[in-house]
Amino acid sequence: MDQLTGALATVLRWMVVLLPAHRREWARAVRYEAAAVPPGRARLWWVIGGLWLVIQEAEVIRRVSFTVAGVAAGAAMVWLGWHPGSANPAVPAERVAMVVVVVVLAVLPWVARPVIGPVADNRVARVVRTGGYVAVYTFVLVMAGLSRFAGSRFDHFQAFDQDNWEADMRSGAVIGAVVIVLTIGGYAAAILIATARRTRVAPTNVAAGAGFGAGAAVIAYALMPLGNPLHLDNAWLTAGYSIVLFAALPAGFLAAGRFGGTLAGLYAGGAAALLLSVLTIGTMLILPGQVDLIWANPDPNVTHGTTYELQMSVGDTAIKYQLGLLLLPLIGLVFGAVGSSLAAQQEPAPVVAPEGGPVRVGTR
Amino acid sequence: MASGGFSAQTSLVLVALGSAASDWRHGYDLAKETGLKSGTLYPILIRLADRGLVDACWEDEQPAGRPRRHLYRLSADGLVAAQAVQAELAAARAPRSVVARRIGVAAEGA
Repeated sequence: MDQLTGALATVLRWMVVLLPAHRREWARAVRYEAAAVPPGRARLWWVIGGLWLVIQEAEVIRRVSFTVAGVAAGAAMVWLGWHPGSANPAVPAERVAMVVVVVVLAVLPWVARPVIGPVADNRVARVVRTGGYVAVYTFVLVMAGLSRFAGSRFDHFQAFDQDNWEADMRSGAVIGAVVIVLTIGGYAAAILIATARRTRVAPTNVAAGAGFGAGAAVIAYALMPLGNPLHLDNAWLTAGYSIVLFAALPAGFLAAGRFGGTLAGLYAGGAAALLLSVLTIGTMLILPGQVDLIWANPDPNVTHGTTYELQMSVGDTAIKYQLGLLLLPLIGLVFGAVGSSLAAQQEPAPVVAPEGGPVRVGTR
Repeated sequence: MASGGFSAQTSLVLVALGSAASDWRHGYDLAKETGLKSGTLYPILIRLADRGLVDACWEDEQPAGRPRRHLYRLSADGLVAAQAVQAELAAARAPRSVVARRIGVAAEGA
């Protein structure tokens, strides 16, 4: 055991260089203090504690770990979205898009750090940054799954005018690839900027935005888990359900603006769009047979609920959530501004002390 | 045992340092007194030092046969924080009957 302790102490001595200069004396302090700890198990655990200290304090270890995890997740997503054996002319562009997205997500934190600095030094920023990045990766995973499921109907498709169809698919795929790369890259950049040390966004703004946005998304998802409104028999119940469904997101954005300012509404819109997409599209992929057949073979004499119809319906239903990624942040920004101005109107006016007169306090 | 906005473990360290506030303490002594492992104790000492609540220094003299040890002591602000933590803990440990009696006396006097 003493040999093991000695070997780990040597590793600890080497690992000190991973620490910022102002932390190295603490690692040395732990290592030197080991001589005062009784030999055997106690000293071994003391040195292990020192290694754990270095792991906690060495930012480069944390950053490399996150990048390695991101690259591993990205490799899994590229594999999932590769779609081998498909003759779909859109697939090559989708593969390129997936690789570019994975690279962007892995590289962006490193590129952004010299400009916006590391994560802000508060728990809210760390939680929102980690949770936001996990949500973005999960969204990419869900989109890969959607492409595999809904897109597989075109794997060996024979169109009436095959050449024109292939040209349309190719050009549509290229445009879609550009949009998806910009959208996902934009969300990742927004998460990094909102939680960065140099941008100095108040933790309350970030918390209000992320919290109210996520809460509104969970409510909207609970009311419409498969992408289309539930069919209720009672007219009053339907009316109440519709009101709550359409009010959930705006109410969340208003609340974010009320408590966190206009920008919190923008964050709430983004958080809601991301979480709602992940939850709803993920649920549709798990339970495709439960999705409303919004597209069905118009011939009433054929059997409905075929795989092709499900693929079409899931794909078409998912489109509004993909559009939501672009629109909900803007809607959130508008409602956030309204909420913020309502909050400002309710605040008492500052104390007015005219020269030589009595002090008056009023409301705006 | 969390109090004063500090975690339970940080409160332990503050109380341990506060029990002999004018003495410089070694890391292993603090670990024995608080029951914390080195991987937990030293990050706490780092945070407290960053906040100016703990002063840290190396032993002045190079002892024979072993390296110099790192020493820790509460700063003036740290002493105030430790006293606040100890006061909160004492209040939390006050027997229910004593508290009830004091509330009753206050109500009679109202």
